[in-house]
Amino acid sequence: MPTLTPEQQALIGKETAPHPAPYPINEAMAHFWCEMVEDPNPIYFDESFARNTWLQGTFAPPAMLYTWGRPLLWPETKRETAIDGLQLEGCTMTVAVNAVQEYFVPIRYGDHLTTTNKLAAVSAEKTTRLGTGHFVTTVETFRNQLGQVVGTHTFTLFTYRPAGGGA
Amino acid sequence: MTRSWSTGDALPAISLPLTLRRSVQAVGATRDYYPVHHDAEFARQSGAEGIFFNTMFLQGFVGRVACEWFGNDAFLRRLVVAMRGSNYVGRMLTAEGVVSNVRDVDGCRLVDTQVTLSTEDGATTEVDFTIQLPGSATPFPEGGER
Repeated sequence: MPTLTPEQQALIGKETAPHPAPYPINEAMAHFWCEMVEDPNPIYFDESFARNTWLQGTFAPPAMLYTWGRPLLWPETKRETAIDGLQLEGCTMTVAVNAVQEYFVPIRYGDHLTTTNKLAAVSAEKTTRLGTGHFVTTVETFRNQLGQVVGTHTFTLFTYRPAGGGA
Repeated sequence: MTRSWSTGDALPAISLPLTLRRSVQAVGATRDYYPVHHDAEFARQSGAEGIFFNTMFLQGFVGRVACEWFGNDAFLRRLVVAMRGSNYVGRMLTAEGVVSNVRDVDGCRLVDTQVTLSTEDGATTEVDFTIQLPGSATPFPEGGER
């Protein structure tokens, strides 16, 4: 199917209902994040250091943005996403192509985030070295409990039928 | 950090070994259970050589190096990560950067930086970020004090 059906086209631009992040912003998950990349920045955990900077206190690493919205594996929850119903035939594999994050407000420990998700674009069928499929771009918007947009995550994925069926 | 920055300033390389253990840490810390990041057989069926690191891990690594370069109290504003190749388990990941622009917007001092992430396989990831240096302007554009 080289082009999109009208049903698929109609999904573009529609935003999902707000969905709460499974956990409040917390230091334990931020520590796991810093441990992963060996990030020693005291701004994330040392309140006496952070309080005396222009940032006025500790906050979670900004680049964690997308992680806060990841759903629990168990117990499984039903979660509407913008790509539900897209159903690109045979496209069983996905690889990330491009990610753009913007950060507007520090995310503080104890914050409760909600996310909304929007399908921004779907390409016509393309063939790359990995296989044949579509480039799909989604935008996730993160708000805190005050209603402030703290950040956005724009993700372009290539979803495809593998070319070789394995090496 | 109070030094000033100019377009063309080179930033020192920072490396991190991409061990199998780190890939396990990354799956848990980023909560990304897509099997290409923990199941070598699945990864090979997808067309990859083996397990490779995910996008959020790369965002986290760049978030770290950005503050090592520009200061612990610099605040990341925008981060663009473009995947050109895979960052496989067993490689050494290295970030190298250069300042591409320094600008003032609404009293905020912003530094734009171009970064290349590479491994033994060559350049794998092209990154652009904008970071705000400490200054008098509030970092909270709409909400004000929290």
